[in-house]
Amino acid sequence: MTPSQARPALGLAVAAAAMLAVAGGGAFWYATQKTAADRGAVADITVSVGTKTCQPADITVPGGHRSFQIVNASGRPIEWEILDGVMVVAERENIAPGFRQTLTVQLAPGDYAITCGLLSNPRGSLHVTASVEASVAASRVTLRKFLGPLSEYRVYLVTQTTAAVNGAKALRDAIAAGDLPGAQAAWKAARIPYRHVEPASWRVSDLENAIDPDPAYLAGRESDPAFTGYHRLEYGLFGQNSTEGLLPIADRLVADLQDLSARLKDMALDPALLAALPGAMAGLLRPVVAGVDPGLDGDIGAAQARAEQELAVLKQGGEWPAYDQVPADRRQHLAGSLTALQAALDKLPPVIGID
Amino acid sequence: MVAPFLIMLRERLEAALIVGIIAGYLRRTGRAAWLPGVWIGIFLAVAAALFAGAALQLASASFPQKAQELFEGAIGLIAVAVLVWMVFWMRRAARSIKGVLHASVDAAVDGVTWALIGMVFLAVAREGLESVFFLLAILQQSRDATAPLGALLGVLVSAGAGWAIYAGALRLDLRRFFRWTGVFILFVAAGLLAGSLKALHEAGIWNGLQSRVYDISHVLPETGPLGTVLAGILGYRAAPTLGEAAVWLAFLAVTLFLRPGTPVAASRRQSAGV
Repeated sequence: MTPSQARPALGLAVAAAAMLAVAGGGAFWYATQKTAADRGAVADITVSVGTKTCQPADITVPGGHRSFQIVNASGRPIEWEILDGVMVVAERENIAPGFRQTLTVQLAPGDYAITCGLLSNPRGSLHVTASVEASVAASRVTLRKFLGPLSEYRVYLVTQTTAAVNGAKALRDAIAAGDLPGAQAAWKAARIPYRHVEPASWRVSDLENAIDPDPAYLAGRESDPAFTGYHRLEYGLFGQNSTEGLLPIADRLVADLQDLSARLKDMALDPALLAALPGAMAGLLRPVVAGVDPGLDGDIGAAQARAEQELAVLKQGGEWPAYDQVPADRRQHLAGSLTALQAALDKLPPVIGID
Repeated sequence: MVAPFLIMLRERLEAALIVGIIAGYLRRTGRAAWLPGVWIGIFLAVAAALFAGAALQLASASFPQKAQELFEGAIGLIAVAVLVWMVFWMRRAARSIKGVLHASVDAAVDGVTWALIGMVFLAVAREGLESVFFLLAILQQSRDATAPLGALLGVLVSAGAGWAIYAGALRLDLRRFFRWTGVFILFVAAGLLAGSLKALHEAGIWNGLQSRVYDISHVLPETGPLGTVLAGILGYRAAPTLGEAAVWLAFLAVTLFLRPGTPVAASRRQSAGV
């Protein structure tokens, strides 16, 4: 279609668009007339913004769905904001002098600031108290609340698989150079990030079988050709104290981990996965549970802190000791606190509805 | 009367400038036959804002300012990209035509034309909903006719500014048009970019670098006549945050000093990086 051919059609389209705009005006006018009756609805709080201050400047309301009527009593157009730190919770712009606007907002309990006209004017305060309405709103488990934890976990998976790939490359280089102590150290460094992603990676079973097979489940045990991956390298480096013949295994491990990294990036994550995460990611769902069952949230936090404390005292000079050097009574303590954490975490899925 | 006038002027001025620039550009690149498309974009955007306003009222939902700010921020960023692309295209063209007036420089690619018309729609829709609700408040709350009159005047003056840009674009010779409007467009785009950052903050997305660089709102308030015009054209802010000031300066520093002499590939890469 060239412009010259398009011309009559364009003319018609302009006319149609103009009619549509007029119709829109009509619809808006109709809606205004229809809702004019309920305009008398009263706001919870009326705030009058003067030249220097708000009246009242310190407001206390119960949490929940609250409405504010802002009256501009100053000589300039103003905007009115509710701020949580630097974050804008809600606002109304362009309130002309002498005019009023209503702002309705869902408020969680806490302390907020309110702006009062000019930037240089002192801010007012908004104190939102706990209420049944607010706790009901907080206790609703919505899909939205899982978005934060899920995306945080995805980032964690990406960084950890990248670390595993890099570790495996360093391991392969040490093996290629025939450097046995170097390879033993590199194996440990490459193993840890893989353990971190295991809760997700076991779902990718074909790669899991190549990266982390257990010789006990293979027909030929250690001599089985399917015995590859981390444990095969561990068997060579620590069992046979040699780098002999390990290079192809290490090359395969690097390739498999790269493949795993790409597949985990695209894997669909579901909240159920998050409920059972170990290590640094345990308690990723605590923001979701906090509103529903504050008691359980507190229990998980306390159990987690106890377990972390047990672990911290074991550290010597910034290094973890080998588990066989941990005294028996310490082991018992550690097992006790980890079991307690597990028990607290086990209560989580039914509470947030993902059992 | 003055306050509603200035509010409507400020809210509509950016949209009017973008529409004027795009219409002038279409005309000067031999695509005048597509100008009715610009009107379609404007009318459709006005209709969309009015219907959305009507639907919100019938559903007795409150004016969703946060969603509106998110929309404004996103559209602002698209507008910046479109304007920068136009400026770099114009710089290349200005180099090749050597001051000779050329009627059809860019053998019209329909896709590009429709994209520009889509930009007109988005630019007008950007502030449409807020304007509609502001006008509603004015009609309901003002005691006499001066406030609605002021608001209407604000719309008319901003539309006039858009028209002036368009008409001015027709008078300049093509080479100067490409050179000087290019600089002007970059200032408009820089203001849009800083404004988009502010909109994203108000939408709750961007919360970094919020300390104020300076506050001269008692000397030259954005809500005053001069401040309003400067804010609309150059992106003037009476009390910018660190992030807004930094992004404004960085944008101009990068785009203004890429002269037409720079190789095309380099300038493209730079514009993409902004």
